[in-house]
Amino acid sequence: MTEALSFFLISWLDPKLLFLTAAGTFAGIYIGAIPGLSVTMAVSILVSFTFKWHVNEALTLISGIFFGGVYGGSRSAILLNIPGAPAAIATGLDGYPLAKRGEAGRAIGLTTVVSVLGGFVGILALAVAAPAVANLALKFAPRDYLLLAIWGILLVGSLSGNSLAKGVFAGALGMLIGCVGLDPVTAEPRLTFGSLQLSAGISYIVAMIGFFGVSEVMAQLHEIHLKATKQDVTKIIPSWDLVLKYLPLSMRTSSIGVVIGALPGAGGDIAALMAYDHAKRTVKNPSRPFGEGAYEGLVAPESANNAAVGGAYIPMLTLGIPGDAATAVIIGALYIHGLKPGPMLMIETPHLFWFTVGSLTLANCFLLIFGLTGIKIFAKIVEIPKPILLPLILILSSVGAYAINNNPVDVYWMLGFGVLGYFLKMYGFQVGPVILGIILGPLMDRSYRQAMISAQNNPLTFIGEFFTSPLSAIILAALVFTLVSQTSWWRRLRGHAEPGNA
Amino acid sequence: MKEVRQRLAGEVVFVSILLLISAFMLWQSYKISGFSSLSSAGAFPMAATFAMVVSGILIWFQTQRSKAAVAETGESYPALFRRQITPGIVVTFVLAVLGYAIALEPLGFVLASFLYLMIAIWLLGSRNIGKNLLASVASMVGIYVVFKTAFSVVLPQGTLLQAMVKGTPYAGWLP
Repeated sequence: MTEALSFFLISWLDPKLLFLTAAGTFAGIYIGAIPGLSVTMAVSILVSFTFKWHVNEALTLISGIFFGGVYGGSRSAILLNIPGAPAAIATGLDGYPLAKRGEAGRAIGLTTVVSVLGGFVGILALAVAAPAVANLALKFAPRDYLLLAIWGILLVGSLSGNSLAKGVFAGALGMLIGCVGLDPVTAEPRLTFGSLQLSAGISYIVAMIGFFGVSEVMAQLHEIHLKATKQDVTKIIPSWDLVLKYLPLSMRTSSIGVVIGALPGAGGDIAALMAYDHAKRTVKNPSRPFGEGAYEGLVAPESANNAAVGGAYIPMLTLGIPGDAATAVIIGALYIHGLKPGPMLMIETPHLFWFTVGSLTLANCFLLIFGLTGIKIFAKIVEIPKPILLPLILILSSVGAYAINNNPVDVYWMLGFGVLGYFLKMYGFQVGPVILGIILGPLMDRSYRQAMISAQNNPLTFIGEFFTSPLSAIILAALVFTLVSQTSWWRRLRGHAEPGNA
Repeated sequence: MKEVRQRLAGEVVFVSILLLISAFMLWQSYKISGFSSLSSAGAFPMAATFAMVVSGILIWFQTQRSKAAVAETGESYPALFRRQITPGIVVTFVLAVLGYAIALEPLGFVLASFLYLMIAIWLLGSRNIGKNLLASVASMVGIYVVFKTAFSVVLPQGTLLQAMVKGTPYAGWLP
C-alpha cells in the first residue's frame, strides 16, 4: 500500500514531472478549446515527438493533454456553439443558450467543477477496478481477446457512426493496414507487393497522424471563412449551493461515463450523449427546459466525458484494448516506449500503473486551477485565425511523421492517409475504427492463431470453445447483442414494446 | 435515431472503388497461403478483407438506396463534386503540402517550413503579406526552439543547402 502511494506520488514530487503535467493540462485545455483540434490529433502528433523521452515524462504530458482536452472542448461549445471536441457535442445543446443569456461565466464555472468531479470518479474507478480486471484478465484465453477486440471495433463503429456497415468496413480496413509487413509468427511477407519498404510494415503513428491530423485539417478548410461571435465571460466560480444541487446528477452521470468509457471502443463522446439522454429522461423539473439553457444539460455530459477518461484507461492498461480512439493512440505511445499494455503490465510494472493514476489525479487538480482561473486567456486562443493555425498543424504533423524513422517517405504516407481519411470522412465513414483496427489488428491476428492452434486447427473445436467457456460466452453474447441491436427488426421489436419511444 | 443520409456527389463511385480494392486485397490475401491451414499467415488478412468485401457490398446497396444530392440548377455532376468534395482550396492546400514534403529534404526543415507557411497562409485567404511574414517567422522561431530544447527531434537539415555551403566559411551557420 505504501509502495503504491510512493508510485502514486512520483509525478507530484518531481518538479519536472509536475511541470510537464501542468503544461500538458494547460495545452490540452487550449487544444480542446480550439474547434477542429482534437485531443486524438494532439496526442498522435506528440507521441512521435516524445518517443525519445523517458516514459514517465511522456506519459505525464500525454495524460495532461488528454484530460485537459476532453474538458477544453466544452469551452468553445458554450461560447461559440462549436464543440471543440467530439465529447463536447452534447455540451453545446444547453451551454450555448446559457451563454446567450449572459451566463457564460457561470456555465463555464459549473462545467469546470463537474468535469473535475467526473474526472475523480473516473480515476477512482480506474484505481479500484483495474487491479481486479487485470486479475480476471489473466484467465482470458486468446479467443477472449479476439472477441473483445472485435466487440470494441463493432461498438465504436455502431455507436458513433450512422451505419454499422461503414463502421465494420473502417475497422476491417484498419486491421488490413495492421497486417501489412512480415508476419509476426512465420516472418512471411504479407501484402507487401515485393516492396522492401512495406516489409517493415506501415507505421501506425504515421497512419494516426494522417487520419486524425491531415484529414481533419482538410475537412476544416470547408469552413475557413466561418467567423465566431464573442461572448463576455464574467463571474466564473460557481456558488457552493449550485454545485451541491447538481452533485447527485453529476455522480449518476459520472458512473455512466465510467462504464461507457470502460467498454472497449466507446469513449467520451458517446458517454456524454448517453448522459445527456439520461438527464433528459430522469430530471423531471430542470432549471429550464432542456435545450434552452438547463444546467442539468451541462452537468450531465460534462461529468460523463471526464469520467470516461479514467474508464477508458481500464481496458487500455489491463487488457491492452483501447477504450476509445484517444486511448488507442496512447497504446501506440506505450508500445513505442517498449511497454506492453495488458494484464502483465500490472504485475511486471505495478509502479507504472500507480504512476499513471497519480499523474491523472494531478492533471485533474490542475484542471480545476486552470479552469477556474485562466478563462480570459483561453477565450483568446480560440481567436487564432484558421489560415495560420491550419498550416501550422500541418507542419507539426509532417515533422511528427518524419521524426519516427527520420524518413521523408513517411511524410508522403501521412499525406496519403490524410487524403484517404478525408474522403472517408466526407462520405460518412468514421476514422476512429480504422485506428482501432490498426492497433488491434496484430493482437487479433495473434490471438486468433493461438486459439486456432490450441484447437488443433479444428474449426468445430474452435467454435465450440466460444460456448463452453463461460467467459467467452458472455463476451460473445455482448457482441451478438451489439450486432442485433443495429438491425432494423430489433428496432421494430422495441418500437412495439415501447410505443411512442422509438 | 438514424436519419436518412443524403448521398453526396461521387459517393457511389468512391464506394465502388473501395469495394474493388477490397476484392483485390481479398485475392492478394488469399495468395499469401491459400486455404492451406486455418491458422496460416494468410488467414487473418483474408478474414479482414472478407469483412471489407461483405460490408462494402452492404454499403454499396445502402448508398444506391439513399437520396442523391440535389444539383442546383444547371450544375453538372462533376461541378457538384468539385463544390461538395474537392473545392479549390482543398486541392491547392494538398498540393502545397505535397510541395512541402518534396522540399523538406533538399531545403531543410527551417527553409521549407517557412516557405510553406508563407504560401499556405496566403492561399487560405490572409492577404496581408506583412502580417503573414510576422506570423510565419514567429511560428518558425517558436517551433524551432521547442523542437531543439523540449523534444529532441531530428529535423531535416537540407541536403541542397549543405552542398551549397560545403567548404565555404558559412558551413557552420546552418541550423
